[in-house]
Amino acid sequence: MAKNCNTPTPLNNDPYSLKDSLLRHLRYTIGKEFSDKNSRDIYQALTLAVRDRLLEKLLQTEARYQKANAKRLYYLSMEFLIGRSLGTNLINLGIFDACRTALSELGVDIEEVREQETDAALGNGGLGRLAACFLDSLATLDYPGFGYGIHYEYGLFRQEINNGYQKEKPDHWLSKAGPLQIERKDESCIIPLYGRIEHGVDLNGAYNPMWMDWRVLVGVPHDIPIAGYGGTTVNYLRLYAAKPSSDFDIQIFNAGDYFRAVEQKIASETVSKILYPSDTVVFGKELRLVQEYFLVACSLRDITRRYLKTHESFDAFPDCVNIQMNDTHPALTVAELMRILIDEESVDWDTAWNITQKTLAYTNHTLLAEALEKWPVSLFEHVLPRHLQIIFEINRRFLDGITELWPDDTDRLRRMSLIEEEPEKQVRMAHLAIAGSHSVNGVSALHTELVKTSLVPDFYARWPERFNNKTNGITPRRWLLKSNPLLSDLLTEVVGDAWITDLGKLRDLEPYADDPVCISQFRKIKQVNKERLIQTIYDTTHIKINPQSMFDIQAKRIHEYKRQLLNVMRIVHEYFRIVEDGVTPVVPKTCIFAGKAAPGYWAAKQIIKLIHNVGSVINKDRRVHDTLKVVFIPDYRVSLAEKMIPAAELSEQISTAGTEASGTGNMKFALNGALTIGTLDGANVEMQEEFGADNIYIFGLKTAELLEMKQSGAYRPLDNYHQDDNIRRVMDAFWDNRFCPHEPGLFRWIYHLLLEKGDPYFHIADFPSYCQTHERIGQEYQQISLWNQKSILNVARIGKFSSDRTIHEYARDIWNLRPVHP
Amino acid sequence: MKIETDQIGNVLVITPYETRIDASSAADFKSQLMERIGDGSHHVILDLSQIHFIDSSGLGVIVSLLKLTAGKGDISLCAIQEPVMSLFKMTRMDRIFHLYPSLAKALAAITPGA
Repeated sequence: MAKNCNTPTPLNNDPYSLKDSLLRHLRYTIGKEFSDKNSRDIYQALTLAVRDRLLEKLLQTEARYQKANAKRLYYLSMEFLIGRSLGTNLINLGIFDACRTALSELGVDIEEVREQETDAALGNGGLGRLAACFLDSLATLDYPGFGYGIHYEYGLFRQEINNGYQKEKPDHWLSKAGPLQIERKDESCIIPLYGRIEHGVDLNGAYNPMWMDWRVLVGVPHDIPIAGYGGTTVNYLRLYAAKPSSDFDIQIFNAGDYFRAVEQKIASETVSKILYPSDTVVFGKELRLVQEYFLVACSLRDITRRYLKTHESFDAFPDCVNIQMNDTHPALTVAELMRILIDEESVDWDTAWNITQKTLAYTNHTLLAEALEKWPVSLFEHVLPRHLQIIFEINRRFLDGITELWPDDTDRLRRMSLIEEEPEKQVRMAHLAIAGSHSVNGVSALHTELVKTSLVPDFYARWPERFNNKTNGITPRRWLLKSNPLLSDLLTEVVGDAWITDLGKLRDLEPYADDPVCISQFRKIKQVNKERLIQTIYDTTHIKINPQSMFDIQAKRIHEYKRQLLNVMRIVHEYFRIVEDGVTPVVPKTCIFAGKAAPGYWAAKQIIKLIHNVGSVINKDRRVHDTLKVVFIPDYRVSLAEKMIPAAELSEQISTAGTEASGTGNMKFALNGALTIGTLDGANVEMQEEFGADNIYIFGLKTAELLEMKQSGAYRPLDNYHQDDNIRRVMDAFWDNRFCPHEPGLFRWIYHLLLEKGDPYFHIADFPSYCQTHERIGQEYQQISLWNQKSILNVARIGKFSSDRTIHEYARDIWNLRPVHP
Repeated sequence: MKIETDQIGNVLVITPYETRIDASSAADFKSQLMERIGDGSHHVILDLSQIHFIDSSGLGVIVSLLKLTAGKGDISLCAIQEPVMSLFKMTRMDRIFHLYPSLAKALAAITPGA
């Protein structure tokens, strides 16, 4: 057989070949002698050696998709919280051990090299991390699925703590990023925005709105290869950086106006400069609207360009392409696809609308009414005048349809309109997304029901068939195989390694739940992971932790609805039980917090300060005798989560019922053997169904009960305060400056908010049952066999919460997407 | 900005020899076009084969040509490069001009008997 001259010799993955690749890159790409290298150089060289192998597989994957004429899924998200990539790539390509050997032969420790990588923190929290988990599952399951996002220059801020207060520091991750990504300037695209509409007629005398006086941005794609487990499929995450239409406007430059040329360049690049640091919603910021449009416009330009390589018309577009909108942030896709079809491809309105609806799908991520994204019409008209015209026309036709179904129901029209009329005219992005999609999904069973019944019931009445649930999931490759290698090895020893791609296989662990050997091994592994975290805590906070204490962790964004405050109130209560009531706790506890607050969210930042002050008082109080400690680990991020979660014994998932859409931290902790204390909120409900009520600690009021209390006005927290000594003691401590003697009045806002302003997140209402449940947990933690049995059963029954299951459901029910196996 | 003109029969062919027309060159572009077209009573073909980027001010100049010749002459565009054509389509300006893939095709269409 003739040798194919167009492809180089395939790369080998044995230690010798990997070492050779690494040394070649060190010498010929980085330009260093081995004798001059440092850990950073080795990290860069190893990343390049791994990238070679990723690209080889990426090209093979693309050829396979083309040969199969495969339908493609594009996942549009403003956030992809990737974290570190090197370890995952080594594991998923199956070359971790070979690389470790290769490095060892060079006298280098692989762990030291991995520590050189900085997190790609291109997301705020759950929504961004979900997107990253989905990409892992899509590739692992051989689905042609690709992420599209923004190539932020600055990721989510680094959190530092100064005197208990959060200080935000810029995270210029690009300056420290490894060479994994590939810039593809040749696939750049031009994006117009701003300007005005000139109303005229075309050559045939028909109305022709021309978009004039726009400015232009250039989107430059950067691809990050995404390897599936097993390494046979490598997809990509495509992130767009905004650039000016030329590096410098050379004519302005030549005319001597250097500063104007520079200003133009900076203004353009600002678009992809920074991730907005809010995990709920950003209102009214022009730059954010431009960012959202930039993502949508670049993505659709690329998606349609690829499609048109093999098609003459858009008739088959929905059969070849599906676009999932991760929350409303990319909801402009509806208007932009319509604009492309109508303005650029001359497709008639009805056909264009049919194509748009069949192609697009929308995932809702929030029940907080105040977090539903809206944009002032005036701002919209300023930034995207043509899109606003199209949205108005979509709305006109949409409302005509509603009027036909519900004649004379003007209130319904007002509620459902894509445009909110009062107090300010605004575009309702969720309504746009729902109207323009064939699927609307929530992210847990409870959340989906609440979307249908509370959030957008009118839309559910109009299109019940569009609404469906896709309970979130997490990838077991990152959240167990990579982050907890000891537990992974034990599970593989006991049930085989099929769990890595079929998490339901962990059910085979159930018979071992009461096996003393298995329990002993389980405990030992948890202890090793705790010791590792103890070192991290000491390195970052200089607090020494009792390794025999129960590790009780709440790690997530700081938000009132997530109720870190309730946790602090309970800790204060337990502290008073020790020092005022003389009750010695049955089990020593280390209460560990981590999480960032949005820089402009005053209450959340105050809660961080409160945690530090309470911790400072308790940790110094000799009467506590090390039975209670409070720790806040700064700068929560994916790589820190990978250290914290395997060490957790108790996972705090205590949001007010009916507020958390799903949560995914709850799943990560349970996968690593932590037991959950939680409310019946988000996916906790389904976790209880899977684990059994005996294996999860549920407390607090249910969604319907809270709703009833809200509607009837029956909730009077001040009454609870007067009737319950424990509540009163805790709240009085906040009033009496017990935890802020040097800053009197600092925490009185809590007293005011909870007792006088209605306690919107029901801390007071749930406090007694939360404390009682913690007492029960203390009792059961002492019973080593019982506790570990429950822990093992959590791991055994976690299968449903793999993102592989979630992706299979999306593919089957929404995308009609088939895997393309090698 | 370097612009060449060529009179072919009753058609005035104008070819800008620049790769880029933007805010810094649009004014010059406009004045040169006006000078060549005069009172607008010509049939004009604007050959854009050399242009690889044009911004909204450049497109605005071309639209103003249309207004100049309204009722007296006619404007056709030819040999539009892909990035420029993409902008024409994005802004729906492709719908107000006669567009031809090449100068030869434009001439053949405008002067079929020639």
